[in-house]
Amino acid sequence: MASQEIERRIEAWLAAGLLTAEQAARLRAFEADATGAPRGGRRALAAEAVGYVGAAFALGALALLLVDVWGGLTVPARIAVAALGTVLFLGAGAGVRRLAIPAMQRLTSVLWTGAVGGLGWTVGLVGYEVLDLFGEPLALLVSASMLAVAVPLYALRRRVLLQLAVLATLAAVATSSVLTLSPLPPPPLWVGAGIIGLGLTWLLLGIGGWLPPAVVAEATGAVLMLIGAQTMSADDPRWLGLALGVVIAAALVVVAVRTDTRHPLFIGAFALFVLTPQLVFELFEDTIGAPATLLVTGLLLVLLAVGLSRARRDVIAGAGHADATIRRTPGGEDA
Amino acid sequence: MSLDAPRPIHRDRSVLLLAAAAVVVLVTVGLVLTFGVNRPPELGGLVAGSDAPPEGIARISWREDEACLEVLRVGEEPREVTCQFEGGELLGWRDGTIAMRTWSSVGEELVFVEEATGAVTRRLVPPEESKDLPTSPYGAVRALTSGGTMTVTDAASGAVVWRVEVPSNYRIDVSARTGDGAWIAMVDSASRLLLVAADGSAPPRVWVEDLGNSYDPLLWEGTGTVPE
Repeated sequence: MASQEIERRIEAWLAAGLLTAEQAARLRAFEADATGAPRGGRRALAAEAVGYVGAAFALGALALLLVDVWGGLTVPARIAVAALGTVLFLGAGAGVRRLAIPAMQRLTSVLWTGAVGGLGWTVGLVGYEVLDLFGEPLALLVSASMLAVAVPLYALRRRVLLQLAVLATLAAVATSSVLTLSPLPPPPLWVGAGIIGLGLTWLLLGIGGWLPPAVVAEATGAVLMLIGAQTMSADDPRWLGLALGVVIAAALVVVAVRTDTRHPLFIGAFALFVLTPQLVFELFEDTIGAPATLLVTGLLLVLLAVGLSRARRDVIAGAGHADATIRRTPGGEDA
Repeated sequence: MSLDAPRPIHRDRSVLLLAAAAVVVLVTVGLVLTFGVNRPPELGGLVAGSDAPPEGIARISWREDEACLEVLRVGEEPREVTCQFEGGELLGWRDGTIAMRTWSSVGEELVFVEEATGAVTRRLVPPEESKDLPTSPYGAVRALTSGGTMTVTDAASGAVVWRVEVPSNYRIDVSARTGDGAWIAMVDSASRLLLVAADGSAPPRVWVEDLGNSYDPLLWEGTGTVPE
């Protein structure tokens, strides 16, 4: 089929609702690869990046102008400015959403994430200036309203920025809820436990395919779990949070080796370098001194590296054995 | 690997992971609400006409970017005397005048405020000798927690003022003694202003439920130094 005919059919299927914009973009990319037609590739991405930089400059200039006049604006005018910005972001996102071009899909995500931020600004102004709220109740109102908008926007456009917006607002709602409920500042041990719980939930939902793009959900979930463990370590007993962090980091590295994926490996390895020395210092510094502590830390990391390389060999050997078995089966020559 | 690249997902495994995530949420919420949400010790309120000192307490509170001089008296709402400082320390409160050391874009100043009207009666560049004046004291008491029991002792006499069961994150952040030494005001980590007799004859009573923060020092009327 000629490329113009394919494009015509895709447009027709898109208009009839048989394809989503994302599916259309993927079909175009597939056909371009198959026919060798130009896709724009790096040049298109560079042009898009330049466009974003230009837009950032323009928004920065607008912000500077706004700072100059902000003090002279009445409260309703301030709220109107914030609300207008939010509506513009939301409307522009809705406008470009139907365009089945990857750059426009990314732009939709950026604009709608901006709308979530704009809504937080608007509700924050209403809460502070009109409802006389401040502190934790204001934070709860702002974060809850942002979450209420971020979730449906993410359901419509399942991309990185909106997923991160949902996670950030969810974390803010959880934090401000606990701070509103608790008359005393919550102990770091349980703040950390809450962060670990949120991270583990995000990780499980990512692995299960409920939060596309899955790689981002898994990576942010893993990072949150490690941040939670580090937060726990601010409380007594300090070694508990650090030990939990080391266990989580080691588990990530093991999973990365077993599944041959990179992102848990990077996160887990970085966390091991950050947490293991802290844990060894916490447990042994008083008894063996700083140089010996460093030596123990180094040896532990070397042992871990050796163990991981062995695990990796086992996985590869296992895969090789499975391949050989398949090749020996009748009709398995091309497997 | 592209971030948007779809992955094959087995439906049963996916539903199992969703159920696991729901269990994690329930367990986390349960644990945090049970152990993370702590309440301060329950105490009775301080009512007007009860046994309490007649003197007021001054403190610096913050409103947006401005430091305000605030005065509290038993039976009255907290009153903002004036809000015009970028920051400051309380030095003394004598004969209706509160002396503060403030700093702003023009530099450090000694400021004298009439408590009744909020008028600044004098401003002067601090003389050298005034730089050593003690600011409002943070620590009229010492509070030590061991095995879940907090013991509050008078820092001057060592007498036990209050002994109470507390959660691990409960603290006394600021305290100040009246001029005659009979009463101690304390701010706890729940931002409550408490009043207790220095001899520990009765548990503290809650003077103000929420001061907004627990770190700003207190200055009793009739204490500190007002420089000439």
